[in-house]
This record gives sequence, structure tokens and C-alpha cells, in this order.
Amino acid sequence: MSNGLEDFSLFDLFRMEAEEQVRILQSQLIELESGAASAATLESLMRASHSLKGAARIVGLDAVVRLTHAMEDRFVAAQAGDSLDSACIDRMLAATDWLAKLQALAEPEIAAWLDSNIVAMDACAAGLRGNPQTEVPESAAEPGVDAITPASSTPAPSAPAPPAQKPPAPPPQSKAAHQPVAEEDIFAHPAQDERAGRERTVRMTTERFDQLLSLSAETLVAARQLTSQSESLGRNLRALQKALTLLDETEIDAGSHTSQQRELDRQVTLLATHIADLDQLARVNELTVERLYRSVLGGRLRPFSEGIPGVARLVRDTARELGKQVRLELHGESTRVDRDILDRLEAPISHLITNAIDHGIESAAERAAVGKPPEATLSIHARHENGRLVITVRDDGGGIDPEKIRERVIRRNLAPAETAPGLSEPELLEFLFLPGFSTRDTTSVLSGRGVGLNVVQSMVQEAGGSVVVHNTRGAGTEFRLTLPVTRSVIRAIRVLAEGEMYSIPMVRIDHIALIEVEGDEQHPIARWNDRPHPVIALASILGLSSRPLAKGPVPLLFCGGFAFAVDRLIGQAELSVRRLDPRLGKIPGISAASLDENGLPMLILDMDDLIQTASGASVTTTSAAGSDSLAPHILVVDDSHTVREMERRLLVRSGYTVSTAQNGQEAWNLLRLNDYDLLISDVDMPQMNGIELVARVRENPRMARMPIIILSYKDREEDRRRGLDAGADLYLTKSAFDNGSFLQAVVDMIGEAETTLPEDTA
Amino acid sequence: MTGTDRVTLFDRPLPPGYRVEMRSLVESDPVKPALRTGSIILFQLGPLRLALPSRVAAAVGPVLHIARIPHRSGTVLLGLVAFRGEILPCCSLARLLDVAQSQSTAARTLILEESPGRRWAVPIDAVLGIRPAPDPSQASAQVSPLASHWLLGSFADEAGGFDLLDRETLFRQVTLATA
Repeated sequence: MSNGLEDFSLFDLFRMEAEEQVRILQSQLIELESGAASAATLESLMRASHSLKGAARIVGLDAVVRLTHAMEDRFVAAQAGDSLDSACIDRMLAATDWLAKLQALAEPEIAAWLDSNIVAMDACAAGLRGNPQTEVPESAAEPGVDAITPASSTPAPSAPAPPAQKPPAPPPQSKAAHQPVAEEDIFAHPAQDERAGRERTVRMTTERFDQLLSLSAETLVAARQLTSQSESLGRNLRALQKALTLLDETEIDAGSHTSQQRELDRQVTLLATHIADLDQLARVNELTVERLYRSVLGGRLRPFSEGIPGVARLVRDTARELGKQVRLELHGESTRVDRDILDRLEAPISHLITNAIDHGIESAAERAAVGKPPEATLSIHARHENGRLVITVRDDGGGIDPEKIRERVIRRNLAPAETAPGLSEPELLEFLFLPGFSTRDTTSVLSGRGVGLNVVQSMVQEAGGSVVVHNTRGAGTEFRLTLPVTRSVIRAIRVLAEGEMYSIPMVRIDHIALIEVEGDEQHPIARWNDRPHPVIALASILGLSSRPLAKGPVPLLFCGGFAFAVDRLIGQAELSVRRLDPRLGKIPGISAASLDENGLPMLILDMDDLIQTASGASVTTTSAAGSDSLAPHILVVDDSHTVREMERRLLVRSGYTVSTAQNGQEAWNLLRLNDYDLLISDVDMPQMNGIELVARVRENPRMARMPIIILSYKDREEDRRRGLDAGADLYLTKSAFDNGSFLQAVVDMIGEAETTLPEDTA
Repeated sequence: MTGTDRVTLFDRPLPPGYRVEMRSLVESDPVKPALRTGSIILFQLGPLRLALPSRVAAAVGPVLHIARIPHRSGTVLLGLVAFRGEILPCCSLARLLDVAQSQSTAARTLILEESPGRRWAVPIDAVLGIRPAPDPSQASAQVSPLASHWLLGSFADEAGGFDLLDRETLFRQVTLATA
């Protein structure tokens, strides 16, 4: 019988083991250093290094065996009462860096990597065994992995050296402490306390998991069919009993039952018993299978802490390097997050941490001067909020000076000189997410290159989320990341429109109500929150019918400023999201598909698309000539309100008709519905970036010949090449932007507009 | 019988014309055996008896619930169906071939596999059976109501005539009609 591990090579298995054990080692070494460790921590550290040693021996990584063996010996000694000082913990953390690096390598790269690192690794092992004189100079270690240095030379400019570790009371002596651990059975079952101490995991490929999910969904469908079969048999039985009763009354005298009739009665009774048994069995089976299905669905969700294994280490190392005192507070570590999302979290959170410590948090002396405790607090909080995963990274440092941003915006010509002074603080903070934007004059290894926040935003957007910054001058900064909890399982409400069932993700619904629609037939509205919302019949916007709204109370879903009317609300469901078949292309208003509990296909609505379609007419901002003018129609796409507005005004002033969109997806929705003479698009935008938009336009036969200008902050040659390769006709950079050359480019592309409007018209 | 004066079979004179007949037999090409590869699935679609190579037919299932796709259902693409845990596009072969078939008469769903992982669901009226692939040289002279580009040929079996669809053309047209 397959155990699922045949999908992996031995080295893959080592990699998995190393990934898990390195995570334990890193988090618990930090705990040990902070003095919060217990006997259980030492036991866990010893076990982790022991397991790693065993795994390394299996794949023949002798240097790793020596290193982990030395670590294990130190932990065993510490369990017996020896002290573990800060220098030793530094060495062990460096060792975990090697292990982390090693497990990330492709199998063919290992031999070369070991060749260049084996000396330093052996030196580290020797240092752990108490022979620091054998340690190698910095140049011997691989770049990116710190060379091992004795405690006295560890850079810690102003941070107080952590107190020498007072080991906890020795635990009850374990088997490992008694025997030479190298001879222990590495395949032995883990101790009971280890099993209880952490969540154990089983590895499998995503394909295998999805297969499991499909199979469990199918089993659930079969179980429900069994229940319904049992109900049918029950109905047959009742019909049979009725027929027998009639037979008794009509043909045979009372009291003269023949033996055949008695046999019939007996069989009916037996059948009834069997049906009752079957019914019970079917219901138990259905419940069990439902639990199985939900458990498998839940298998995709992992605790938030698994997505940020290196955070404690990062805070420690960064603070130490910058000579600052920082305490990390983690909240909501057990918050469940889809593995796909979890995998994308560590990088943006690491960027935010580095930025916070480097830019936001003051030195102990500066903090003391303003009456703050010398030790700063950096808190990371994960929680579910209205079906979304919300992660906040907050520091109690000095905050961001908006005037510094304004000064940079003006200096780099990122906004017109007349606009910049009027930009509000939230608008100024948005500039932090631009590529290459930094408030620092100098760069360091850690930050100041203006890369971090742009990367944070891109990564969060790729995961389907958004990031917002809140700033309190003198009191700190908070970055709030809002992400979907999962991209594969969603909670949705099922509705009926024109006899067809659709699902709407709960996270997109602001309010649900059964109320009477006001207004006339052409402009129906519904009130909620003291605000009128235009009512849109879902069936009509999906092109299923043009039937007018029913009289009387109507089920309404309030979403994005509109009230979508449906025929009936069916109920909530947890759905496994399936990608739409790519053969079908983009279907307006539909984002994905799913199967309901009866195994029937169901479409999941793309509410952003529907809202865009519903409001499509109102987003066009035309010149004074009106929407039916013959002026060339330009679509401007940019996620920056400032840039968008500036372009719009310039173009409208020159007599063009202009529509705007905030991102590629919104632009694509407009492009599908309307004809434009020119598309001007930014590159970095949420949901769909400019490159993707241009590529889509070029693939579409109707739009393929439309002229396209890309206007972006990205000014490297490879960015320009990427834009032109995607199909843009012209690539302009915002840093070299001026009104004259921009308008000339537009004229070159589509010619002049016939009328030029006075300055104040736009 | 023994004796040196006896005449054996091979000593007899050749019958008249024997050599000529033998030469003509040896010189002519032997009749090639019919090249029959694989099998076909025969099915009913409205008034037509159609066939496809059976390796294209991945499965036959009951009538499946079709989820209509906004803005797209109603022509060749009928919608989406779920079959054994998979969500597949369902298209109307009847509309594609311009054959009268009432949606309500469809009694089975044929799952066609264009290539691995690329399946289509097609409502049909009935599966008539699996047959050995017919010999192309035995194509019947009957006139099919379908345009010739859809067909590899028209044939006859004991129950009547049937049209063997060209799978390449079929999948190309299905893709074009549903994109």
C-alpha cells in the first residue's frame, strides 16, 4: 500500500525533515537565549539536532552529521547542568543557517556547496565541542552565511549582551542522556511528550492532496445518494404495506390468512427492519464522510506561526546589528491560514520587520530622551476578521515624517510641483510603496534602497490582498496586511438567479436583507445604512434574463455600493475553489467554479467584475463634448489617484475623452465593454499589472491593433524591454515625465483631438 | 503398388492452360487483408447514428446537471457539468453538427477525451454499442446528411448505416465554437 512518500527522493525527505527541525532549533534557541526556556525546551532542541543527525546520516551528509552531533552533545550537557552562553548560541544559530541553506539547495548543487563550506562547518562543530582555536577565518565561509566568531567579537554595539544562560534544572534523565546517542534507533517512535508537544505533520504533494480532496468530495456525494436510496426504499415499503392491507380487506375473509399471506407479511416486516438498519447506516456514513471531507479541506490550513519561522531570529539579529533593543510580541500564532497564502507571507513580513527596526525604532538613548522605555516593542498580530486574514506589524518607534516624504516626492518630480504641497498624509504615505522610493539618503545592507515596501505591496497583491500603512508621528507605525484566509476553500453564500445556483464569497458581502425596493423601474434603489444603493438584478447583469424585479420584498446582497437582487437565498457553504477551465477564457462576472455537496457544478461570482460592470457607465469622465463626441477616447490606467488624475486632466484639456481605471482588471473589464482609441497604462498595479493587461489586449482580436503607451516609474532597460515585448508601442518613464512630451506622444499615436478646452475645464 | 513402370502423379502431363493460370496467379498482387485497427463507439444523436474511435470516448454517464455559464451558454457551449469529481465544459454536438436534437431527449452523456486532461461532455441520445473499426474501403455509398468535412466515411452494419466522425475536425470545431 502506498504511503505517499514514493513521490519523494531520499534527499527530498531529508529536506523536509531539515525544514521542520531547523524551524524548531531556531525558534527554541532564541527562547533559550531570552531566558524563557524550560527543561522541555532543551529536550526539544536535543531531539531536533538528534533527528537531523539521523536524517543527514541516511543521505550521507557527513559534515552535517558532525555538526548536529556536536550540537546534540551540547544540549545533552546542558540538560546535565552545563551552561550554554551567548557565544555558543550564536554558533548554533550559525549552524542552523547552514542547515537552512543546505535544505534549500537542489540535489546536484550539494557537493559543491559542501566543498566550499565544510571547513567552516567543521570549525563550528569544533567550537561547539570547546575547541574554538580551530575556527576558520571569515573568508572560508560562504557569503550570506555569517562566519563563526567568538562571543567577544560578536557585534553588539550598544545592545546589552544577553546574560549567560542559566540552565534550567536538569530534567529527568532521558535515554539520550544515558547512552551514546549515535547508537540510538533513529526510526524509533518519538517520546510521548514530544508527540504531545507539537503538531505532527505528514507530507504529500499538492497534486496528491487535491486528488484526496476530490475523492472525499465524491465519497460525500455517494454517501448522500445512499441516504436518498434508503429513503426511496422506505417509500416502496410503505406502498407495499398499503397494497397488502388492501388485499387483506378485499379478497380474503378476515381470519383466514393463507400461509402465503403470512409469509408475505413476514417478508415485509423483515424488509422494514433492513430498511431501518440501512437508513441508520447511511446517515452515520454520511456524517462520517462529511467529517472526512471537512477534515481534508482543513488540511490546507496551517497555523500562522508556520509561515514566519525565522521572524524571532530576524528581530534578534537585526536589532543586535543596529545596536537597538527590541522585544518581539507575537499574537495569533495559531490563526489558520491556507498553505498557499502562508508560503507568501514570510518575505513581506521580514521586509516590514527590517524596515521597522532600521527606520522606525529609535536607539535606546533616543527613546530614553523622549521618555520611552529603552526596549522597543515590535508586535505581529494575526487574526481572522470578517473572513479575511489580517496581519498587523506595529512598532512603537518614532513613526514616519510625512514632510520628509513630501520633500522626496518634489525632489524626484513624482508629483507636479503645484500638487505636492496639497497632498494629504495618507496620499504621501502611498508613495512609500513606489519602486525605488526611500526617505533615506544613504543605503545600508538592511534598508534604504527603497525596494522593501514595493516588494511587500507586490507580494501581498499577488496573494490577493492589500497593504495599508497607519502612522502616528512619535508613537510608531502600523502596517496592516489584509489577505484571503485561503484561495482554495472559501465560505460563500449560495443564491438562485433565474433558476441557476451561484455562489458569492461571504467576504465580499457587506450586508444581506429582504426588503422592498424603492424608486422607479428604471432606477430602483434599496436603502441600507441610511444610504441609497442602486439595485441590480443579478440575473440581468449575468445576461440570464431581463425580467423586471419582483414586487414586494426582494432578497438583496449589498456589495461595493450596489444591492444585487436575487431570486432566493439558499444558504451558506464552504466551497473548494476550482480554477475555471482555461479553454473557456475569461467569463464576465465569474471567478471560479466549485462543486456543491451533491456534486453539482456551481459558479463562483467575481463581485469586483460585476461591480465594475454595474458602475461601468459612471467611471467614464468625458470632455465637455460629452460621451457621444467624436473625440478620441483614451483609457488611462494607474493605481495612483494622483497620477491618474494628472493624466486625465492633461488629456481632457487637450480635447480627448478619457476614462480611467485603477488597475489592470478594472481596465480589462472596461476594454471588453467599450472601444478605445488609446490605452495608457502603468505597470505596477494590483489584481492585474500593466504587462499582463497589455498582453491580454494584444491577444484579443478586437483590440489587438489598439495603440498602447506604458507610463511607469520603472526605468531600467529590462523593464522597458518587458513592456515593449508584451506589446506596448511606447514606453515612457514617470521620472522623465513632462506634459509636453507626454501629449506629443499621444498625438503621435492617435492624432490631435479636434477641440482643445480651456485650462479650467478639466 | 510397386514397380518401376508405374507412372506417379508428378509424371502426369500438365492439364491444358495450367502454366498460364499459375503464372497469372503468382504475378498478381495478393489481396491485402483489411487493415482494422481499434474499435469505434456507435451512438445515437437525434436522427443520426454516429461513430467515433472508442479511444476518444473516456466514459459514458447518465444525464448530468448542466450549470449555465452567463453570457456564454446557449450556443454550442451548454455549460459546465461535474463528472467523477471533475468540472468539464459541456457542449452540444447536435448544435455543432446542426442536427435536430431536443435537449430533453438526451439520455446519456458521452465524455470525450481530446488529449490527456482535456475532456468534453457531450449529451447524446443513446450508446448503440462498440464495434471493430470499419475498413475504409467498405464505405457505403449512402449520402450522409452531414457535411463531408465532418466525416471519415459512412458505413453500414446489420442495424443500418452510420457516419464515422473525423475526431480532428470535431475537436478543432468544438474548441473554436466554445472559446
